[in-house]
Amino acid sequence: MGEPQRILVVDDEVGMREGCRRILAAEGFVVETAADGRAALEHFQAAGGFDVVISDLKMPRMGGMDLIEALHAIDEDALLLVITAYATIDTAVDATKRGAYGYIPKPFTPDELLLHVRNGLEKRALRLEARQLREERERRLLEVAFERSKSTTILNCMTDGVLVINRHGQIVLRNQALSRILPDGMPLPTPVETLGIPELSDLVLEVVRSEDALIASKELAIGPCTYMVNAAPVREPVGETLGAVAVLRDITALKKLEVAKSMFVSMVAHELKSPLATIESSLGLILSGAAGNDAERDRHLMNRALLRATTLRTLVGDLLNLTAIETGNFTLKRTRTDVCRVVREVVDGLADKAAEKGVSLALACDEPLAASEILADTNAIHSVITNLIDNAIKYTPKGGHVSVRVDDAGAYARVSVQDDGIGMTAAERDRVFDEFYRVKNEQTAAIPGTGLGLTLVRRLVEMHQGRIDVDSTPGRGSTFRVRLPTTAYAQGA
Amino acid sequence: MNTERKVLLIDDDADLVAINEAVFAARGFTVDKAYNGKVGFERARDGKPDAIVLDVMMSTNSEGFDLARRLRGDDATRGIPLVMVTSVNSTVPFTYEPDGVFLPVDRFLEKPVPPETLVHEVERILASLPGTGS
Ligand SMILES: Nc1ncnc2c1ncn2[C@@H]1O[C@H](COP(=O)(O)OP(=O)(O)OP(=O)(O)O)[C@@H](O)[C@H]1O
Ligand SMILES: [Mg+2]
Repeated sequence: MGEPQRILVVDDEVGMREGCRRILAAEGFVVETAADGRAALEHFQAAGGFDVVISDLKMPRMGGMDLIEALHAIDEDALLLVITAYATIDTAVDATKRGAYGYIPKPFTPDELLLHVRNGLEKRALRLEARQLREERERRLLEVAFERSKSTTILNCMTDGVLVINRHGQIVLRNQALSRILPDGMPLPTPVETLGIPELSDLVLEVVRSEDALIASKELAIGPCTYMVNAAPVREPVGETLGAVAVLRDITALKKLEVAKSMFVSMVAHELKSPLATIESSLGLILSGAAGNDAERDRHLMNRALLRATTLRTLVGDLLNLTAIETGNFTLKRTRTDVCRVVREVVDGLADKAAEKGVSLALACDEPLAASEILADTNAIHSVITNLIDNAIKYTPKGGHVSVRVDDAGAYARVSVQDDGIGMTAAERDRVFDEFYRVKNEQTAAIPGTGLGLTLVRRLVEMHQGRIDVDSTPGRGSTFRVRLPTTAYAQGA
Repeated sequence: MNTERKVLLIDDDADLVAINEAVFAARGFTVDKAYNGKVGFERARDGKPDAIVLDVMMSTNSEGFDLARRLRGDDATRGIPLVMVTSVNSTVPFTYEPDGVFLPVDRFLEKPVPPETLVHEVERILASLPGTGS
């Protein structure tokens, strides 16, 4: 059957060795011989093992007893038969105790030898089979353990909470994220109700009990957080429901964003609604004549309506720009821009407005600036400076002064807009960059505006890697300073 | 009817006050104005108006409410009819009950209120008062 079986005969007597070889070879075995234990060991190792080793006990260099141990160290299933004279039967028994499979008393007939060898081979086959089974089982166990630890690791690495219940509604598995969401040291399995969150247990139980593969979703508030729970049945391929798995995803941030978004929309709506209502009422009043005709009053109302319409248009423009920035649709077209030149243009453009209000507007630009050139979107910088100077004029009463200055500030070109107007308290100053924030007091009541100007200013400055800061004292005035990195700096010079 | 009817308009939107002033004046009212709660209270106490029109949101979300409570708590102003105008419902995420305890006003109107409607409301409240001209 298959490959011929291999036998090693170890004996210091040549006659014995050759006798055995002849008997066994005649039966189709492959037989090799060795003269002592040490030679046998070397042979065994070089040949990669034998099916049976037949060995004498008393030999020079290494005897049979030591050979047993040495062989078993190499192959624990190595099968060894000792040959022994009647006189040393005790030693033979001792040898079997030490791991020899059996002993063949001398003298023996060829049939006796063959019988022992055949028994030994059978035993050896059984041993090998057992070893194979053992190894197989160990490998499978290892695989299972590995698979399990792999999926456990994956489950625990998930940021979503995972909860598995069996068909009796008991929790059989939960990952670490879930333990963070629902701290609970309860040993598993435990009824899902012990979580103390009826909405969650009701949901998964409903899924487990449902006839058709129901997948249920629900928003769940746990503590300060909101979770989206998705629960699905766990089914066998044939269709029987084994349980349910629920995944809890933290959507708190999303929720907050939603709230912030609707707050923003409602603020915008309000900002649009009030001036529109005023414009509507003014025009309605004048056209209907419900309040009689007073040419001067009507003219005033129409002027105010016009002013508010203009403000509305600015608001819509600012909103569009802000939205574009927020959605990433606002791309800066950066070119080499001379800050001094842009500031001068803006100051020239606003000179009439300042004069009309009776506020002086002065520009100091220490030219040539060492580095007044910046890499910037000229339009954006124009609108930043316009907003700041426009505010300074707006929030400075008649007779006041606005002075604009451009100078070097290390790696930055700095634009300062200073006024001696109404100023702000520290609390007000901290909020001026907030969307729609406007200081409300008697002095600002009649000044139109939406509170988006500075929000946009800061966004634009930040997009240029610049900085903006404010100094202000109520009744004494404010100074807004913008710093923009110069090209020299941007190029790392 | 009485000839000397006086209304106090309190709102931080000066344009709205100007429009309402025109309509009230055309209907024969004397109009007094205030653009914040503090001045509003002083005008109410010293000017003895027959009715007050008050905006809820001025510099703070509750300035109008605070003023309403203050007017109701002061002997000099307690009896003056109060019409409150607001856009609170549509802008701030809180609601209120227009009941006498929390909101001690006679009439509650949501912005925008056409000026004529406002005048009608004030006239109706004044007409329903017992013992006019006391
Ligand atoms: N130079 C200043 N002096 C005093 N207060 C100021 C000054 N600049 C801004 N503020 C205050 O900061 C608020 C926000 O300014 P911002 O430019 O964002 O809005 P706005 O001027 O009211 O409206 P707009 O969107 O039309 O510019 C102003 O309403 C005002 O109260
Ligand atoms: Mg502005």
